[in-house]
Amino acid sequence: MAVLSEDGYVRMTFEAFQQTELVHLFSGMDEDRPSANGIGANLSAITGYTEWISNSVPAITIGWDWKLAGGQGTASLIHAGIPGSNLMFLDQHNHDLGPERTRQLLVNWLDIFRWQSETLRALSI
Amino acid sequence: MNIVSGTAGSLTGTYQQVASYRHKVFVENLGWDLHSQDGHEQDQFDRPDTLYVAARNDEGEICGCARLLPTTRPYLLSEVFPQLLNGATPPNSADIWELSRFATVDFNSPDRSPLRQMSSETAIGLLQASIDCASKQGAKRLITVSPLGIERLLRNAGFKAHRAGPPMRIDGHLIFACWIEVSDSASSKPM
Repeated sequence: MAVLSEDGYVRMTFEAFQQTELVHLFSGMDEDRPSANGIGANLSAITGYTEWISNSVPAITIGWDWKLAGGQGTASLIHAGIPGSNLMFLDQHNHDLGPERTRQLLVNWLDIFRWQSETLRALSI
Repeated sequence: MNIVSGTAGSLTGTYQQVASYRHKVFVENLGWDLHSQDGHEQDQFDRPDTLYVAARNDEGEICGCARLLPTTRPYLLSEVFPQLLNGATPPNSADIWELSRFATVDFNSPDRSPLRQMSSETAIGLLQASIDCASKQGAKRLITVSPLGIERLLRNAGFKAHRAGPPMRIDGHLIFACWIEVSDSASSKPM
């Protein structure tokens, strides 16, 4: 069971998190990426962000950066960097795993979470 | 870069320059719908007890600003954006201060993008100075309402921070509330 703590964290086990449905909130491309202008300028990478949320109470929020990877004629997205969230995962004794361990579990989770199709659709790429 | 901090009363001329700078950044560049008069952006939270942190470039011009408010009195998040707190009651504690109106744009720089300059050394230095300033007032944590882009600055620079709730699109701008730990950050700078 997820609990909203006074420090703003939603505390739950990683196992409970994996069973929580997340829905797409919004996605966008970075508007501040360097522009390619002038002789010899390089085409800049296309990057952006995506935000996901649970419909449960308290709401879980998680967002991460992505970069566009082209290959074999199709666009694909790769998550980049560390996700931001309000999550603090708990161990089996309901003790905090800590921010670092929580972030690492989220990074690993991103490798299996299917977010690319919904994000591409939102971006109209 | 030179950073100063204090109340409007103690900063005298600097405060007027900060209000003018805020108008240029938030109203003219970012297009926020804020109250401005005679080219100076100010609101009801710019009070005698409000603390400001301002950065000057080598030419002596303002290139960054931040505002600190105690949560024991009305503040931006509690009065205007409580919906960003995921249903939680806005904090009211002497050891929690609010950081708002954070910006680092050097108008002398060829790159004036407010979003891109959020990742600059100036931004990191100003944020650390703001945390240190709040720490001297007894703050153990900061709560901030900011553009979502500031989360990257916090993450990439190694500040200890986490979301207070989901981001929302308000008046066309993505903003969110975020907790920043003061104790560890003030004693050991990130990076």
